[in-house]
Amino acid sequence: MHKTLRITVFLTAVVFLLGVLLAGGVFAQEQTLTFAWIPKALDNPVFELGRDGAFVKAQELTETTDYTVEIIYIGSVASDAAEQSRVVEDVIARGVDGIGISCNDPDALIDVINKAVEAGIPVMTWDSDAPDSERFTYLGVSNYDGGVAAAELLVRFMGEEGDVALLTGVPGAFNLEERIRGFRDGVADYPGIEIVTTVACYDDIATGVQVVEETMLAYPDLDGWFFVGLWPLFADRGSMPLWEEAAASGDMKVVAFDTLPVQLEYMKDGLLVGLVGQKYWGWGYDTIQMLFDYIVHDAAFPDWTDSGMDIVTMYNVDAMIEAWETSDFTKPLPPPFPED
Amino acid sequence: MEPDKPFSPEEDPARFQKEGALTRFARNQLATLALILLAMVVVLSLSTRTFLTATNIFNVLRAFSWIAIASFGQSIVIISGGIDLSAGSNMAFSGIITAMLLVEGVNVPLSIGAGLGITLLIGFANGLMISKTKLPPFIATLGMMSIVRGFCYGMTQGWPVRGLPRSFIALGQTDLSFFIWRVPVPAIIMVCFAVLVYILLDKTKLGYHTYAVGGNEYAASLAGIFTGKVKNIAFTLSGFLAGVGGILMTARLGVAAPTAASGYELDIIAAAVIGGISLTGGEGNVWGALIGAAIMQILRNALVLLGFPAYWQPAAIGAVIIGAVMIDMYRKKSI
Amino acid sequence: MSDTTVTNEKKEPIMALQGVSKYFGGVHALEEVDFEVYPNEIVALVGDNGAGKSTLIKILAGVHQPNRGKILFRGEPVEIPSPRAAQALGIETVYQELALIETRDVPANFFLGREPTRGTSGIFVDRKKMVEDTVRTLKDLGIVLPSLRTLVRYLSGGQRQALAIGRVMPWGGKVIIMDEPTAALGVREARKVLDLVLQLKEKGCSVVVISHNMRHVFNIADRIVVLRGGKKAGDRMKSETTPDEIVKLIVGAEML
Repeated sequence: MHKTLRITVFLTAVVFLLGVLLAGGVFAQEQTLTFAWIPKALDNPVFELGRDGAFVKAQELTETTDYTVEIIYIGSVASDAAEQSRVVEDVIARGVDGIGISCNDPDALIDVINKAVEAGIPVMTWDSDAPDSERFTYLGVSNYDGGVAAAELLVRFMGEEGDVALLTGVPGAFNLEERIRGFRDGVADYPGIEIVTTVACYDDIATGVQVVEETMLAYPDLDGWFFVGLWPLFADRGSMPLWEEAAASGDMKVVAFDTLPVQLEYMKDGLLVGLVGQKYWGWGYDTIQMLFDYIVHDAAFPDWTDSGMDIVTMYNVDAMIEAWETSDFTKPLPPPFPED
Repeated sequence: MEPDKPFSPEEDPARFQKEGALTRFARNQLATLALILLAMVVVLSLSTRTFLTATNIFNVLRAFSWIAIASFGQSIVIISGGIDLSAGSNMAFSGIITAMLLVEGVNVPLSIGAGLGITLLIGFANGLMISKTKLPPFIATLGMMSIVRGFCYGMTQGWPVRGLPRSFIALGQTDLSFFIWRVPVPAIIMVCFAVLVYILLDKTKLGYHTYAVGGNEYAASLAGIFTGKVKNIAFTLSGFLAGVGGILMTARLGVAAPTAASGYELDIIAAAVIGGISLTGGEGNVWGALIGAAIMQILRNALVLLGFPAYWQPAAIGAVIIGAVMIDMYRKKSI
Repeated sequence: MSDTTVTNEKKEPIMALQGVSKYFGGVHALEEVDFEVYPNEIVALVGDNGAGKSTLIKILAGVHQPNRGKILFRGEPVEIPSPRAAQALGIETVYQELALIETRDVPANFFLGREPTRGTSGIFVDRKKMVEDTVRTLKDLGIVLPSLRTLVRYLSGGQRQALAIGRVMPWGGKVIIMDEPTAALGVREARKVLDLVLQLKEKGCSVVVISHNMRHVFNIADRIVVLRGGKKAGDRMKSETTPDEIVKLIVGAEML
C-alpha cells in the first residue's frame, strides 16, 4: 500500500514538473526575444543595478517595438568560472535568443561561449571580457584606463608627491590587477609619489577595515590611498577611526573605484576626494539594446564598445546621488572639474 | 609463571605520582602555545614601532574576538568528535537577521535575541541531523553552510544591510576603561565566553561527557552516556556562539553583508587546531582556541605592519598553521 | 543436557537467563540458552569465536535485548534496556574493548558516565571526591599507576585493564562481567589481573569472565560454561572436569 502511494506521489510530481517545463516552453514562443543576462556572481550588489537596467530596457523595448523582450537573470552565487560555464550550458540547453555575460575568467569561458554561438545564440560580453571567444562585441571600460584615471584624480588632489597605499581585494583578480597596473603607470611620471604598501582584504569587509587601520598604524604619515574596490567603505562610520581622522583632516586624500551610494556619502562628508566608476546600469541597459539591435537590425559592432567611465568628485557628486535616488542613469553626468 | 606476589604502590615507588617539572611543562599544551605567542609578541615589538601600542593591541583584540568566540563553539564540537562547517554562514546570518530587524525598528535586545535564537536553532538542526539521522558532521554542516548562506543572499537580495542604530553599533565600537587602558567591548565579551565555556567543559558533568564522546563514542555509550544528546548540545552551542561572533562583527562594522564571514569557518577551525584541539576529538580546551585565534590574528597584523607583500600572505599563514600543529604533535610524541 | 546445575541446587542464582535467543538479521547468535550466576562465584564462559559469548554478556549488561526468553535477577523477571539499567541493578561490565577514553585522565575514566556532582544541582563535577575515591579504590586493590593526571593513552595494557576493573568496584555491583580481561597482556600483567578477579570474589561479588586461556580459566573459575554455535554445550564445576574435557566441549568432538 505504502509503496503504491509513494510511487503515485512520485509520478504525479514528475508529470507536474514536465508539464511546467513544457508550458514554459510553449509560452516562450512567437515574437518573444529572451535574453540571458549573466553576471559574474549573484552576491555582488553592483550587478543588481545592471540587472535593473536590463529589465528597464526590456520593458522599453516591449513597449516601443513589436517584440516582447524577456530577461533571464541567472548566474553562480559566488564568482566561479567553472560554475558560470555550467550556467551558460544550462542557458544554451534552455534555448535563449541572446546572451550577455560578464566573464569570471577570460579563458575559461571561451569554450561555452563558442558552443552557444555554434548553437545560433549570439553572445556579447560586458564588464569582463573573453577576447578570444566568438562573442560579437565587448561592452566595458578598460580597467587599466580606470586605474590611470584614479591616479590622475589623486595627483590632482594630493599633489605631485607623497606616500600612497593601495587596498585590493583578491590578489590576482584580473580586473583589480589591471586597475593597479594603470594606477602605477599613472603615478610613474611623478617621482615624488611612492607606493609604500599594497594590502589585500580578500573581498571581505571586516578584513578590509582591519588592514586599512593596520596600515594607518604602520604608516601614520600617509598622504594618499587608492581603494581598488569599495570593500571597507561598506562598513559604518566609526569602524576605521584612524583612517577617518586622517581623511577628514584633509592631510590624506583617498580615491576609490566604484560609485555606490555609500561612497557618495563618504564623499559628501569630505572623506573621499575622487571616485572612478563603471556604468553599472549600462551593463544591463546598453547590453540588452545591443543584443536587440544585433538580432533584429543586424547591427554591426566593433570588437570593443567603450561604455565610458563615471568620474565623480565633489563638483558632480550631487548629480550622481540624484541618479541613484531616481534610479535614472540615462542623463549624462556634469564634468568632474568644471573649470577645465 | 611468576610467584604469587601481591603488588602495591611500594613495589615500584618511583612510578607513583612522580613526574619531573620539565615533563609536566612539556605535557602542558597551553604552555607551549603561550610560548609561541610570546615569541611572536617579542619579535614584533622589537621589529616594529607600532605593534606594542595600545591602539594596535586593542585593534587586534577587537578583530579576533568574533573569530575566537565562534571558535569556542567550534572547540566544543571538535572535542565531542564533530566538526561544524556552518560556523561562517551562521556568523553572517545572525548579523543579517539582527540588522534587518533593527532596520525595521525593532529594539536592540529583541533583534539580538532573534539573531542568536535563529543560529541556536540552526545549530540544533545540525545536531539533530548528526545524532538522529547519523549523517557525518562534515556532510551535515557542509550542507547547512550552503543553506544558511543561501538564506543570507536570498533575504538581502545580495545587498548589505546598513543604517543600524548607534545603540547597537556601540556594542562593537565602544571601549570600556580598565585602569589606564580602554578595552573594546567585544574583547571583554570574548573573555566572558571563554570563562563560561571553560567552566562548561572542565567543571560540569556535560563537559566530562563531551570529552568522553569525542574520545571514544562507543565507550561513552557503554558507560551509559547519552551520546546523541551530548552531540546535540555541542552543535547547538556552536551555532549560538557563532551567532554571538556574527553580531559583534556586525556591530563593529555597522553593516551586515550577505558575503560576510565567507570562509571564516576555516579560520575558526584553524584557530581551534592551532590551539591543540585535536580533530580526532576528546582533547584540548578553550584557552587553546583563544591562543590559537590570537596567533592567527597577530600573524595577519604582523604581515601588514611589516609591509609583507599581500600576495605572499596566504602562504605565510598556511605555513604557521602547519608549523604550529607539527610542534604540537612533536610535543605529544616526545613524552 | 543432564549435567546442568550440578551442585548449586540449594542456592538461588543471583541472575539467570532462561531460554534466551538473540538474532542479528538471520544469524542466530544465541538459541534457547539457560545461564545462571550464583552468589559469590566465578563463572568462566568459554567457547570458540562466534559461539555467542559476547552476545550473552551484552544481554546481561543491557547492551543487547533478547528476542526470546527471560532474564531473572534475584529471582524476579527483569528487563535490562540499557547499560545504565544494568548498572542500576548492580551489574557492572568490563568490556574487551576496555571502554576507556584514551584522551582523559585516570579519575575521569574511573567515574566515566557516573561523575559525582557537588551540591544538589547535579551540574558541577566534584573533582575532589573523584580523585579521593579513585586513590582509595586503587590503593585497596593494590593497583599501581603513574600520576592520576596521566592520560589513559600513556598507560600500559595491564594498567589500563587494572583501571577498567578497578572502576567497577565502588559501585557495590553484585555481578561483575568481564570480557577477555587477560587478552593481549603479558604474563606478569595477566597474573595481576587474575589476582584482581579473585579479590572481587573475596569482596562478595559474582564474576562472569570470558577467556580463551584454559590455564587462566582453571586458575580462577569455580564453574565453567561452554557455548558452541549459540547453544550451551556444557556446564561443569571446575572440581569435576578437566581442561581436556572443556576443550572437547568447545570444539564439539565426542560429547560425553
